[in-house]
Amino acid sequence: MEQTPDTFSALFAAYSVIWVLITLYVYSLGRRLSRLENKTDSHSEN
Amino acid sequence: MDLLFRRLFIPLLVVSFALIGYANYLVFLVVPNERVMGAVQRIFYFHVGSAIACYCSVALVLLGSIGYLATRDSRADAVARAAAEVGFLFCTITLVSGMIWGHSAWNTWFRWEPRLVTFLLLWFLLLAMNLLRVFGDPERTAMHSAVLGILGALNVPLIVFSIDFLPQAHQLHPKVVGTRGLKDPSYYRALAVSVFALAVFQFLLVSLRTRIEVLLRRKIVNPEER
Repeated sequence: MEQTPDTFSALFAAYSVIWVLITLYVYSLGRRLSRLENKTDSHSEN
Repeated sequence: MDLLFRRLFIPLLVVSFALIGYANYLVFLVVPNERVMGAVQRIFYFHVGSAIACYCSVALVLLGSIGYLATRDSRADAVARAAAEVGFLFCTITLVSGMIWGHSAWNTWFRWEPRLVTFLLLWFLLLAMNLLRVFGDPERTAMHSAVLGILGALNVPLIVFSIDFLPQAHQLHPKVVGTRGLKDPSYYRALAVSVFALAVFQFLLVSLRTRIEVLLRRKIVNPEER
């Protein structure tokens, strides 16, 4: 198969989708955990 | 349990990222271009890795679902919920990366053939499980999700063996690993590392999401708890 710009665009697009989805999910998990642990810590201080 | 999670999380995170980094190195700098498809074939490694990670998540959904139905233990339900979310993520990645690869290599986004249809069915089942958790009756959600989870898990052998339902010539999805499959040893190494890296990463995400779920339920049951 001829190596065209479309080939590399597809490769770039696929890996971008993979890492954007993973990054967004990990970020949302981090925020949720941080919020929960902050609430738990503020209860223990009170 | 909290202490165990805190002690294991960082080492698992480091191992996970090291493996993913090594997998990326192999995929982009070591394996040669595939003879027919060229560079776009490199999507294959994380496409298959994501599919395997999805199956691992579904296995955890199955264990959690059966555990919950047998014992009514909310921790089993927490694992099932966490694994369903992570499984949906990797299922989506597999579908989208596969569609991009299919369009680039064979000029087809999707075809109604056994493997693709059964995998799309799994995606809908996982979507249903996650939507049920968000919009369903909290009293019954756990049991309904457990039943859906078992159905989703029964779909996985169908996906794996569906490639044999039709002759290869009639299918878009290739039967890659086999007697006529990957020839260069570096392909196998990149595939093995990618699959293992994403499986470990999937396990890490499920652990983290389970912890969030357990903390959330603890807070709901005992809002004044430290």
